Amino acid sequence: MSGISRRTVLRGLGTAVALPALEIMSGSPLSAGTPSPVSGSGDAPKRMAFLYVPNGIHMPEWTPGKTGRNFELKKILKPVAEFKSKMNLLSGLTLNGARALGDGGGDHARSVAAYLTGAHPRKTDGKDIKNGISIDQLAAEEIGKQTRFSSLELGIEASSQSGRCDSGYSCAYSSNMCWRNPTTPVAKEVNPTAVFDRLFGKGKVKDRGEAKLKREKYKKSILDFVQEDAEALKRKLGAGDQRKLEEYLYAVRQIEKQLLGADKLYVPETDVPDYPRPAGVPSQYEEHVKLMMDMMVLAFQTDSTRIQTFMFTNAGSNRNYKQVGAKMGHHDSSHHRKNEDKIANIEKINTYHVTLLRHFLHRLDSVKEGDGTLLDNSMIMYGSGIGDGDRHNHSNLPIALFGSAGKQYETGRHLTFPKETPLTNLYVRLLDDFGIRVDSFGDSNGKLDI
Amino acid sequence: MPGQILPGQDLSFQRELYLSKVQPLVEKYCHDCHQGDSVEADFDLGGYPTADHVLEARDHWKKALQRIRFGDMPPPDDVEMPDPDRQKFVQSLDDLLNKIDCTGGTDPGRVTIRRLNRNEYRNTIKALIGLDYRPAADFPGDDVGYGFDNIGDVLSLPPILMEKYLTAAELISRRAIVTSGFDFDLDQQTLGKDLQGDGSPTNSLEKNLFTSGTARLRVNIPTDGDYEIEYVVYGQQAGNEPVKMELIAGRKSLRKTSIRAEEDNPVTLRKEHRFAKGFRSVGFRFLNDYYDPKNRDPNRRDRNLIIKSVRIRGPLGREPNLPETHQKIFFVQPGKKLSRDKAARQILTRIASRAFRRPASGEEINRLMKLVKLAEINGDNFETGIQLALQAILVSPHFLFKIEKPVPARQVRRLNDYEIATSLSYFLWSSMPDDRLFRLAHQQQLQNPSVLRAEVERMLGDVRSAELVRNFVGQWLQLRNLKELSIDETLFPQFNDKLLESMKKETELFAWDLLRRDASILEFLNADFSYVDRRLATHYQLDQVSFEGKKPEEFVRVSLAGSRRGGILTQASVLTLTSNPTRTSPVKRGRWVLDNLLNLPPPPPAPDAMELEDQDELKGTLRQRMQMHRKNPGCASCHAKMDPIGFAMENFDSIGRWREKDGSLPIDATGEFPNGKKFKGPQQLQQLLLSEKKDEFIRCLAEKMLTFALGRGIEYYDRCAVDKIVNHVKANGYRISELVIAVIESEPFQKRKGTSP
Repeated sequence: MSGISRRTVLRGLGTAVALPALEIMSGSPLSAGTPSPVSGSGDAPKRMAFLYVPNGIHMPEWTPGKTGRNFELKKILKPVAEFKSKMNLLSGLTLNGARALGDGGGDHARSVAAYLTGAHPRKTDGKDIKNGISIDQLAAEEIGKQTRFSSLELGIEASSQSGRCDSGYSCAYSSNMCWRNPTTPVAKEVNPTAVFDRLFGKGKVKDRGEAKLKREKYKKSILDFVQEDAEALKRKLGAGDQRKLEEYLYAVRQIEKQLLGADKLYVPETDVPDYPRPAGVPSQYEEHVKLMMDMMVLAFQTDSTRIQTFMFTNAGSNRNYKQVGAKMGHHDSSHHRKNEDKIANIEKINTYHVTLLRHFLHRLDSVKEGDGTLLDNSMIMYGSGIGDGDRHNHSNLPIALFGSAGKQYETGRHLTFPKETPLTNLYVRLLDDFGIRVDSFGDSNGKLDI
Repeated sequence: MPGQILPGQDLSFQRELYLSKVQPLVEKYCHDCHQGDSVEADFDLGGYPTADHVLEARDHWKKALQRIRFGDMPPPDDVEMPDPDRQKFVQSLDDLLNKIDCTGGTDPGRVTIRRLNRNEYRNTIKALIGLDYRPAADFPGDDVGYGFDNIGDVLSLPPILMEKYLTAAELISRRAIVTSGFDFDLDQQTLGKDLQGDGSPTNSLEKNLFTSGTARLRVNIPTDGDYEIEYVVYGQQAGNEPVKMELIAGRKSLRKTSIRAEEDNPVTLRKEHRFAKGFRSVGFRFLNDYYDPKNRDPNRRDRNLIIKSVRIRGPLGREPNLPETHQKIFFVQPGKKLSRDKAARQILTRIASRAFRRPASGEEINRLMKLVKLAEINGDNFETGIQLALQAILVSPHFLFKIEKPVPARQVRRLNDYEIATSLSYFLWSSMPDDRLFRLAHQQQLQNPSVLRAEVERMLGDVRSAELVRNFVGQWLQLRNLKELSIDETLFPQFNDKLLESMKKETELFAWDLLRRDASILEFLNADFSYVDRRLATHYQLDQVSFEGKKPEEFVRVSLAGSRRGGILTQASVLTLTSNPTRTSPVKRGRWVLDNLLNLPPPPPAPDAMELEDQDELKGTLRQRMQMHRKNPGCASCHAKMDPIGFAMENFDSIGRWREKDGSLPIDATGEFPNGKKFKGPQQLQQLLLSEKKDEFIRCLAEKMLTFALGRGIEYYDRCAVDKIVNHVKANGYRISELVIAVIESEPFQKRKGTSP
């Protein structure tokens, strides 16, 4: 066996980006015979991603008339027609936690907070936020250790800056769908450059070998230092403050883990994606979304993580999409009250998002892995925590599932489930297919048969 | 200072009130739906036999109060509650939930440790290090609670942010501290072999003085001053004494030294010397040659002096080319009188104390010294060691969080001077205390009310208080939401990001003007001036404003006396941020007034309000359409309070331009308060707010400012403090500085309660 003899470098537009210096390059025992998770002939890893769009969907143009295999795609899903055979369309699922249940308005904040947790978030716009753990974070806790990043949380809009976000709900709810535990939302990254740098380092080619080792040694001592600080402080402070320091310590430990796990990234040079380092946040929405999706594909492809989430916007977004002729705000037109102009507007937006989804699926599907593609080895859920935007209901959600995590289930079908079947039953099933057995998740009352 | 113990609250007033006034009304109007077998909204009134039970569920009851106040409860289509009953209900329930005895020791509340938000982080780095670290703008957004982004409970620290803090610390310390290539006017390195005079080169690099003699070099001294001569030498030892050498400058002997070092371990010697400008000579003389060819040990036969290299640099004492950030940190240098360790300790003590906003402990410095040592062990220089320690300081929880000393359970203590300094500076400047505040804290002067007052006035007068406008006013009035708006630019071709920026700037400059003049806070509603640039002047049709001699983007203060504008409700920023992308929204405007000027946020819409599926197509002007919509009694009660306020602003379109018509129909800008008072147009609305709702407005502003100053939400027990602030402001001409001072002098600002055990 031999180490990697040449520098493993990503060549970009005028930038040469080095992958983190790997133990393997110095021929460490770790490298001996470690199969590439990407090109290896063994079992390819399973990946999961959850994508979210706000304000529900105009359901008449989403739900096919027929169930089973012989269903016709309606207008909104047409852009992903080429992936019909790799898709399962799941109708009839319900997100009960997003309902008011006596808490009044605030469907948007509630629906995104409940989307991946199945919990009923506590109505507050200040302290004492409380939700549930989200499926991606649960999976990350279970299997995240196998990759450098347990999970990646991405999106387009950062947390809102001001004001209560939705009828008495904190912005922490409406701008975060990932929750590490009931009180800790996981902020998302919106800058593609930052994602790239996290994945592949800043590309200081000279910063290698001894210098790099020394730098890491220093970094570890700094982490040790602050960890001592935080532990000592935590013992002295009251309960509310302790919670903050626990967040701090958790963050520090995560980073330590990444530092130690840097050697887990093994990408043969031939398989290194030829992708330029993005130059900041694009001003155009479409370009921004596509770049973030490309980052997601890179992250999966290099097995930097197996779990990702992506928010097309924050909850209740009133963004307009003039680029596709949708001049009215998204939220405003979702309450169309049968007004034709508004319906046309919301349809355009719904269809546009699916067009962008197509970009993601296409990229995933063009990465060959073993006999199939990266898409085949993934399960990609796309949908919203609101059903029909006009009604703001939380039953019969628009949920589409792409890929099968390596043939865990059949695809190419439209399935309809009995009224009030919890969306979280699907999560129990997906976790199961991911190799994580749970008795229940959120408000689940069984495991979905798909 | 010993803490004060809080007395338990006496609830006899509340118990009496509940039984005599609240409960009868609850039974009469609420029991139908909220008691018995089928309880609406999970709110079972059977569970509240006494006031104690009610107060345990205070938050629930507060929501009920809000709904009763807005006429949303009891449901108007179901139960009729006459106005006198409603007033009585609201008054007595409000007293029950919120009235508190202000004569005894009141609860100052507690504040969860607050992480620096990204704006505070950037400002603090600027003040601490002297660098503007822009990537701070890239940190993930800070979560918002109670309308502000500096709330301890809400500000979280996800791993992704911690990563960014680490990267930032590394970058900042690298930029701040120079670790190599110190820029001296002269930094001349000479290899031994290049020395002139006696001796001969060995192994091509060194100079071997094998007989007594002198090797010299010439150096061109750029200016008079102290220079350091650093020379690396060793000896080939022989005989019964070590190699002896002399360092010479010109003809002057500087130092005689015995060199015991040998080839495998050469010694570095340094000597400072004052040189005059011009070509000078530096010499190395070998003093004790020795040769004994008969020695049994062939390695001990010949004594020679070997010179490996010489470095001369200077002038010392001034390092003009080091960045200011570096000089600020290295305020002492290790040297003759100060060991490296002592210098490092002094440097770290100063920077850590400033970063932690209180004196750093000896133990903390000891631990930081370990990092300095670590760098040394790894062959890095002094500066790198300090750099490493600085990195650790910048990611320490003591820096990233504003931490106050814990208070024992049920006790109350006054903040110490350093904590006051920190609270003050983050409130008024969104940044760390400056040197003067630190000095006053050190002298324990900030407990002294007159000193504190003088400091507040100084701070408000300082340009850094622009941060108070940006962060407090910007969030209070929700100006920050402007950048997230999407306005339909085909309907409003005049609209663009630059105009949006001008709108925001107008309101900021306006507020800044009030602050600088220490004006009355009532001017927010009745000012007769504002600020416009060319873009806004056109937008407002202010043709007579002269921009002669002004730069393209410059704003001028304009008088609005006698015009249609004046006060924030007529400013394009507020009018635009309360509009929809394609049209105005009287609902949003009305709600904005209730929420931000009167602190009376309407309750959220009823759960079924959004699910009205079969509403007929609505026709007519916006007002007519909305009136039809309000026919639904479930919506009507609240909208009757929001919409009429918003209608008064209908003469301003959704980007704040004046208009006479909405489409083809004339605008009707009459509005009405819930109490029936009618008005027309926003200026009358503002006047009415001042005459009828002045106390509510002041209270609203006081509560918002207290929230921002404390970094926590306002609780019922803050009522005494808020009352005091309101009274103080009213008694002192409504001046802004008096509002700020009253907030700072308030108990919740000055004191903390311990957490319950």
